Parts: sequence; structure tokens; C-alpha cells
Amino acid sequence: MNPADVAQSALPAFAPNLSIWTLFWQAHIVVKLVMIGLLFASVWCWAIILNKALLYKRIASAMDRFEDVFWSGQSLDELYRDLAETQPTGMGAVFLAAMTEWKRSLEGASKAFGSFAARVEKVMDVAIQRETERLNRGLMVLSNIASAGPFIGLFGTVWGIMNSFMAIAASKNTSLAVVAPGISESLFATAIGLVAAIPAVIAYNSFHARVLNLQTRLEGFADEFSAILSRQVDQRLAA
Amino acid sequence: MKIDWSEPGLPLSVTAHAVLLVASLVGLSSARPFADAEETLPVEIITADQFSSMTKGERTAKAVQPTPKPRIDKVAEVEQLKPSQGTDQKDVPTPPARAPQISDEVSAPPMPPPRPPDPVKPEPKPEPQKTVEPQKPEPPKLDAEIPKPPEKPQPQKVAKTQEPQKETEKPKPQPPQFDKIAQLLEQKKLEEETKPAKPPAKEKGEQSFSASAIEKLLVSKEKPQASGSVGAQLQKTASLGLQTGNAAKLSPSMRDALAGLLKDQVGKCFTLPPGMDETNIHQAMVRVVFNEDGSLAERPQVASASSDAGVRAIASELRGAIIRCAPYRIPAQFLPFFDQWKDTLFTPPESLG
Repeated sequence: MNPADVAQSALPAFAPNLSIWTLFWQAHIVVKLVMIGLLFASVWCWAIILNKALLYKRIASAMDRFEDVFWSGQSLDELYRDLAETQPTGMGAVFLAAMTEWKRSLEGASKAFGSFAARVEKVMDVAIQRETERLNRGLMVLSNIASAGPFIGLFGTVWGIMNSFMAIAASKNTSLAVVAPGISESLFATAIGLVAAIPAVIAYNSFHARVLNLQTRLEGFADEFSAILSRQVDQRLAA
Repeated sequence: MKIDWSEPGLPLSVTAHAVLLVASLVGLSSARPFADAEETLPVEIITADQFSSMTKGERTAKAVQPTPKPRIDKVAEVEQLKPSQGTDQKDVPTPPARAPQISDEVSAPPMPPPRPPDPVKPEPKPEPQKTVEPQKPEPPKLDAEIPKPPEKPQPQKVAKTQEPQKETEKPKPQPPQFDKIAQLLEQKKLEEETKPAKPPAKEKGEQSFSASAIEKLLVSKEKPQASGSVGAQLQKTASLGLQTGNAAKLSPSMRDALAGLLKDQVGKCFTLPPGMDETNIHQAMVRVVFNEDGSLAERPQVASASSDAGVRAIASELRGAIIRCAPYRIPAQFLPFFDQWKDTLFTPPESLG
């Protein structure tokens, strides 16, 4: 057999198959763990992004609807009765908390109007905090993935490159064909880290701004409603 | 598992990642290998000067020589007359057959004209000429054996036939009264030329039949046109070269020292023509070609292109001084750099200017 033929037929066997799958399987166990962890981080991060985007959209439209109804001149007692049957979110929850307090103040034999304004404010603050907490839930995860993802990926890369250099030292062969696959697979870890972190950064920043926006709207509504309620109290006291 | 449509993030995210992974496995499965880059050969461009001063050696050499010298194929007959080393063999005047006196004359170009009378004198007696003529073809054979391969004889024959033709042409105008004799002589010469041209090959074969000589001829594969390098000494053994890879170069300080030496020596013979304007004195330049022993290889030439009469006068005076003062004493330390000072431009010595 011609030696040239032998060399040619032997070549394909040596040529490494550099698909993403082989990159993963040939990697060191630590690098593999890093890759798997980053993959889960990415899945989680996108789940949060989708959920939060839908949630904010729902809450914003619910607020719009509630404000329309609230300022339409409908009786507040009727609105209260409608909302009490459901589990309202956003402004509805704040309104419900304030109205509940209003009802309780009226219920007793002696009407407790003395520090009503302060109490209503507190109740509404608590409701707003609860709503804001619900909006903020999960954003911490996004922020963590955004900041730590690249570092974790970098760790996998450093570990993989360290490992492949050790292998080079052991085999005493420094040709690029030997060095390249190890470096390539370890760089893959950084790539996954960046893939997970970049959407997380963008989503975290925009979601944070939206939460602040919604919170101001809630606070504004709370101030207006407490003003309305205290006016009612003053009118009743005068009457 | 039932999907909660108020929070569809997780299942959506999982499916999206799975789809992306599969797509990357199928579509982006592998990087396209680079096109095979062709091996490139590094090409270095060197000047003729660098080439001639190269002592890097040859790959086919068997050993490193203690004192490597550039390869010389043939001893130069007129030493260092021409700056270029690779002159064609046909161009080199080849008077090996001549008597020593003639070879002396060869080095002085102006001399040849008076020579034709010599062949003319013996004309009345054709016999001595015959004896002279056959002698010619013989010695060249012997010489030819030393340097070279089978192809060698051919160029030599050509050279031979050309030379006598020159000689026969020259005599023509001079002795018109000997027309017939000259014609006869020419015929005879022509006959002789054609005859002896062939015999040498035969004679050679008969004379020097030795296996080693034939082997030597067979081994050499040089083309007949190859000029070979020409130098002072034969240097047949290839050298593996020096560590530095380049021949020694004259350092600036040594160059200055040599220039000072030469100027001192010329200064003894040079006097500025009286009444000369000294402002343009440095424009006068004379080009001198030296031999290794410090004598002049050819007549110095005025190299300044100035049209100023004064400059021309100074230059010609300088040329005379250079000729008068020759040969020059050049210390042995400069000998290795002969290539670099053999061709020198002289300006008038300042101290006397």
C-alpha cells in the first residue's frame, strides 16, 4: 500500500469533530459542571424574564382598567363589593386595604375617626410594599446571573485551558492541532456564561425601571385615595 | 404536567433552549476548516556584492574547513581586472600556449598593436612558422586537462580558431608587398587550423587514458556555458562556511586609516598646479583599481564630471601623481578586505591642496 494513501486514510480519524456536542463531551468534569450550571441558569433566567414581562403587562393593564372604573363616578361601596369577591392585584389591592380599614372604622359603636388618616396611610403603605415585593420577586436572580454568569464561564475556561496545558506538558507536543480542541472547548464555557448573562443584564435593567414606574403609580393612587377618604371623614365629623 | 398560563416562563424557556440546542447540533454542528494554506518559500533578495562576499558554504560540503574561502573554479589569468567575477569563459583572453613574454604583454592593453610585425617577420621562412603553429594546440590540451570536463575542449577550440584569425587579419594591411605570400600563408594557416582542431581530442584520448580522469570528466555535469568563478587560487573543496555567514567587512575606522595611508603616499608625488583655484579642489576625483600587492591594475581614470578647466587640470595632475607613486604600500591587515578597496576614488590630498 502506498504510504501516501495510508497517510490520507488516517487523516480523517485524527481530524477532531468540533461540533458543540463533542466540545461538551470532551471537556473536563469541572468544565462540564460549569456548562450544565450555566445552561440551567440560562433556562431559569429566561423563565423569569418571560414571567415578569407578562406580569408587568398584566398589572399595568389592570391598573389602567381600575383607574378608569375608579374615576368613572361609580359608587366606592359597589366597587368594594365587586373587588372583595376577587383577589385583586396592584391598585385594586391598595383600594381594598383602604376600604377595609374604612369599613372597620365605621363598624364599631364609637366611630374611630381620630387618627383615621394615619391608619389608612399605613394600611395602604403595607399593601403597596406587598405589591412591590411581588413585582420584585425574581429580579434578584436575574441580577445574580447577570453579574456572576461571565465569571462562572471564565472559571470554566481557565480550568479547561489549565487542564489542556497540563495535557500538553504531559504529551510534550505543542502543535496547534493538539492545543486547539482543549482551548476551544474551554472557551465554550465562557460563551455559555455570556449567553446566559447578557439577556439577564438587559432584562434586569429594564424590569427594574418598570417596577419603579409601577410603584410610583401605586403611591400616587394611594395619596389621592387617602386624600379622598380623609375628606369624607372630615365631612362626617363636621356633620 | 399542567401548564399554568399565568406563569408560562419556565416551560417556554425550557422548550426554547432545547430547540436552540438541537438547532445548534444540526445546523452549526462544526466550524468549517480553513482552506489548506500552501507552503510559502521565503525568498531573499541579495545584491551581487552580498553574494560575492558570502561565505555561508554549500550544503553538499562534507566538512567545515578551518579557513574557508569562496569557491574558485579556475585561476584567473588576469587578476581582478574586471569587477564582476562571473565573466564568461569565452571572453577571457586565453594565452596559455604563449611564451611567458607574451602573457606579460596581455596585461597591458595598449601593447598588442606592435605585435603583428612579429608574425610577419617569419613570413619569408614558412618553416619556423610551422614549427611555431603546431606548438600552439599542444600546450592548451595539457592545460585543459587540469581544470575541466569533456565539454571544455569545444570552447577552447573556438577560442583557438578565433585567435589565429585575428592574427591573420591584422597582418593584411601592413605588408601589401607580400600579398601572395600572405595569401599562401593564410591558406596554410586555415588548413592547419582545421587539421589540428580535431587531432587534439584524439591525442588527448591516447595520451591521458586513465580511468580516474574519465571518471572525473563523467562526474562533472557543468554546462559548457558555465563560466565558473574566477579567483587568485584554485578552491575546489566546498566549505560548510563560517559562523557569521558573511565575509569580513572593512570597518569605517579601518577604511579611514587606509584612505589616510593612500593619501599620504600620493601626497609625496602630488603638487598642486600653480595658480589654481583651490575652492573646487575636492571636485577632482580619480578612480583607481588596485591589485592585491598595491600596484595599479589598470590606468587610473578621471572620475570627476566637472566641466571646470581647473578641476580637470587638478584631476589629471592627480592621475599623474597616482601613476608616479605606484605601487602602493598597503599593510597586510587590509588584505582580507581587498574586494572593498580594490576600486577606490581618489581626491587630492588636502594637506598639499
